[in-house]
Amino acid sequence: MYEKKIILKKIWAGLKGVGSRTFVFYLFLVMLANASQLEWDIIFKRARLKSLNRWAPTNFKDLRTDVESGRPYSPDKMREFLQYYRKMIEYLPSGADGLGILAFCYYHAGDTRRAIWTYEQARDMMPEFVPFNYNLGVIYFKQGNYQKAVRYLQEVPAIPFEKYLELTVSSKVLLPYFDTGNLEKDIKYRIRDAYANSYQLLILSNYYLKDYAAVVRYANEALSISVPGHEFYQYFLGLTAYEFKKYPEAVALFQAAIRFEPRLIDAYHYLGLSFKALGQKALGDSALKEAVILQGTNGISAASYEQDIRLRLF
Amino acid sequence: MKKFAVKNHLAILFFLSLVVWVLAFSEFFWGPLTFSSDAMSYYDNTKFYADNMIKGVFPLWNSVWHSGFPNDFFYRRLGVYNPFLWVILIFRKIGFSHMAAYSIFLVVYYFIGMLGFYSLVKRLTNNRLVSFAAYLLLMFSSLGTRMFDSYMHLVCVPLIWFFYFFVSFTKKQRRHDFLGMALTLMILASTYIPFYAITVIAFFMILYAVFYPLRLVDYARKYLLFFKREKLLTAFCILSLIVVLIPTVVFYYGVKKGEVVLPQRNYDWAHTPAPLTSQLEVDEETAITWGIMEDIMFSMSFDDLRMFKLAILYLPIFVYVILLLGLVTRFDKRQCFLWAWGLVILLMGMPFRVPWYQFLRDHVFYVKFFRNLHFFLWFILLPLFIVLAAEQLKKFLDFTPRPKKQRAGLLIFISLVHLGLAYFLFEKGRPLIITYVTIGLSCLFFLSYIGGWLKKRPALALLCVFAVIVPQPLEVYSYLPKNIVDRPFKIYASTLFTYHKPYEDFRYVRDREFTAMLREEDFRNKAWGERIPGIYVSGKWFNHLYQNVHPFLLRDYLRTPFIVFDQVAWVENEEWDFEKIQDAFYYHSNVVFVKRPLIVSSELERLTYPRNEREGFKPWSSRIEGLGGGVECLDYDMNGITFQTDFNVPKFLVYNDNHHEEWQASMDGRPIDILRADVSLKGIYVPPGKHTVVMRYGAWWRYLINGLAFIVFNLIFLGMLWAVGLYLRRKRPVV
Repeated sequence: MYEKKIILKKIWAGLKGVGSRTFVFYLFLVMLANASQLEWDIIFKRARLKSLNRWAPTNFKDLRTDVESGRPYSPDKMREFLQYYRKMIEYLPSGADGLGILAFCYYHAGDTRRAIWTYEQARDMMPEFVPFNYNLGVIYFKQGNYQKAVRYLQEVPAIPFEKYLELTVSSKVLLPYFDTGNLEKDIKYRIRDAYANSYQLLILSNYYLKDYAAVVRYANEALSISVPGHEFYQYFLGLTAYEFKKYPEAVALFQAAIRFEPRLIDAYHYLGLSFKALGQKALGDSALKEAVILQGTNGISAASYEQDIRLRLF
Repeated sequence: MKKFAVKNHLAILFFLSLVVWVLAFSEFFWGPLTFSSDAMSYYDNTKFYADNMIKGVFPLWNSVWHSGFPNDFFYRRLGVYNPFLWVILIFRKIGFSHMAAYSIFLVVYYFIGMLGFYSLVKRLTNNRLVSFAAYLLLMFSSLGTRMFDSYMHLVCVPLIWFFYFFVSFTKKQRRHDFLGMALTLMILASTYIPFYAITVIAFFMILYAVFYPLRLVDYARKYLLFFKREKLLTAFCILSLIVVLIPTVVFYYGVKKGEVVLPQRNYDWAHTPAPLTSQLEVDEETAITWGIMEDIMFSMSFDDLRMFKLAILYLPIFVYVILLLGLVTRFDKRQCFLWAWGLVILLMGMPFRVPWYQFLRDHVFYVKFFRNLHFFLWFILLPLFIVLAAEQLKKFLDFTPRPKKQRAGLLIFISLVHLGLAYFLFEKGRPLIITYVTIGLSCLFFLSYIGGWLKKRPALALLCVFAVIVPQPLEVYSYLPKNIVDRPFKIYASTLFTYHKPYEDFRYVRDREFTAMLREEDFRNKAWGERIPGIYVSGKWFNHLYQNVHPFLLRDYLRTPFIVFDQVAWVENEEWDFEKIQDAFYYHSNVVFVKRPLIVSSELERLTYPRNEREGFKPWSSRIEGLGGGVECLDYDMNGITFQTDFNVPKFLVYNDNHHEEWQASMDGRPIDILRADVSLKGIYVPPGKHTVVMRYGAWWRYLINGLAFIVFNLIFLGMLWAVGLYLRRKRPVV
């Protein structure tokens, strides 16, 4: 009996010793917080979102006005965007549109590998959002990996215009980049340009891959739905005809291209060569001479279309 | 030399810590960077105050701020009677630039606050090593960074010292502690919104009564004995506190009456279109926007310290080591009390979905005045957290394991905690290398201390604590300058700060610099959208004018301080026709809109609009753009102006400075009425001939109260220093 008492006393003393430790108080606090019926989940979530606002860059529009259009941009400011969108993804991991902008920032910060990886993640989450496929296509195209570029770009024409529009307009993340003064026109014009650029890249990629059938198919498709860049499509149709030595067709197509863009140097050049191949030396010389003149003045080369293609925010 | 170093090692370490701390922020102190956000306006306010004080003028009126505004508002924020502001004046007088003098003040004030914290923790723990660790933890926490973007030090420093004197006085009733308590209370009562400090102290008192009811009776008895013994001193301190409170109370009622408006501060236009009962009140939507939880979450999102910015809560890693090691220490009643105190304040600062805040808002009148609830985190929770850590550190270091087994167990525990923390940080992201170094040093420190080696070498232990705590914050703060987006550079001070532009002398034509002082951004905001409140703080009538007249017309109108009119259009019952006023501004019409007083003299009545044009006056008003226009300024300072008028016919003169009931005027020595012209400005009737007009701001009692406040503050401060000196002399052992 006496031994039992001593054991009980020891246990009690042990319990008292443990109970008076700081970690027990912390456990008690945690239990109290859980029992308090306060909506901690909501409180924490709101606080996190509020704190996210403090990460916001000083000027959102820069990303559109400067970065997207290829102007030189301060790395410090780019870091601001990167930090903000990284935090956004950390707090709202399901937001594909945020991922898309993060990938855009990665690319312009020079981290192409991470940009591709992030765009692919975004694309998996929202496969019908055109800019993800398009931007991946552009990155691979710029790397000279035309096969991969085609793989992503060929998805773009398959996505309906309405879907693209709907996903763009419903994105809250993209909201700061919209031209709110002219919202409808702004978005519609951009979407139209995105399709046009996709066709142009598809044509260029397939041309470099020497898949002329695909060039003809995409050029005709682009012409049939009347996206901007008619001279470009006519020119590449002409170029394909020229490759297949169908000179009369080539002449007609190059002339059509020149009708749309009278400063297109390459169209004059190949028009000249086509005329010469048809035995019309004088016409050929005159077209070639025109090409040389344009080169020295305000002519546009087919390569410039390539250079103008950039990643899109939306 | 060695003897000196051994004898004064603590003083040397304090000095060293100060030097290192200043060096950590050298880019701000003598580098290109300067203050941003709220710290800018505090810098500005002190400059305005110092510029004028050096000239011998205590500026009660600020004619620069929105065309004239009682400067009391800024004095309340600044705590203008604080004796430490003399540091600025003294250094300015010596010839230092304001930027340098203000920086010296900041460093001195912050360092004094940190010394107060050391003394407080020493009083609580009676352990020099622990107190020094606590001092370093607070000094190198991000509290110090807030002086570059905010004004936390203005409340935090006196609050720390108040608690030091309070604890000290409660233990032993000594004169200098009582004077210190009085002085710090007076500073707290006259700085920023005193309700923050009042809340902190009130919660402390209430919880103390709950936790230690029996002690309270004993303390009350001791206090009463002291009061009886030191009747004169007690009465003087109480009277001084009352004197200091008078300007605050007068300001409070002035604001309540609506003389001062703060449209930008307290109004969430999107959510609360209903007017507030007091201009100091903050609507609920604004109050809950950013509380303590948001501040903590925002700071926690900076898991990579390379991105460290201003306004981020940061504590050296050593504090987390202490907390982890302290898990096994005994938890006592004092810690429980401190925790309760902290929790009550923490929950108050979490207004979203926590009913405690709502309860206080409904039942405590001043809770509605708190816009920045997260300030509690900096004013009290951060220092309190370090006090709690210090308590744990003391207990851990005091633990002396007797058996070898126990000692070995403890050493293993120390190693495991450090390894665990290092692993946790490694898993979390990519911490700074210095963090691992600090953890390693900390491990060595605890092992050698508990092992007994360092315990025998107290001076070395202090140095070790210094080496463990300081390096990590130094690296963290080295990232600060490059992470501040839109870095404000000192070379742009003339555009960044209002009072770096020429403003002190009278000008007949206010140049671009001056008009830009009229808050350029507010004018721009107003032009952009009607719902932007624009003005932060101004006089009620100026705000009314500003909201209803096109900002660029108003700006043009205010360009010349004196405008002379031949016709007066009387306005009854504040029914201002802003369309007409705007037209008059646009066309420079020769008619001024004046609020009709109860009695209008017959001479003035003759100027009533419309007058017969055959009297020969021009259709437009005459703007005085220099000497020879009929008005000549003879004397000018912020509190008043003296000018001479000389016209052939009676005129109505508008002095483009805001009307306020405390402005008084006299003409040739005889008092005259100042009328409110064009909604908000001063206007007087000027008879033909040569006259000297004197206009001065401020009733006599205002000068008296401010003068008295200055005197009592400095008397108590000097008295306290004298009492401390006496005490130290008595304490010194007789050789």
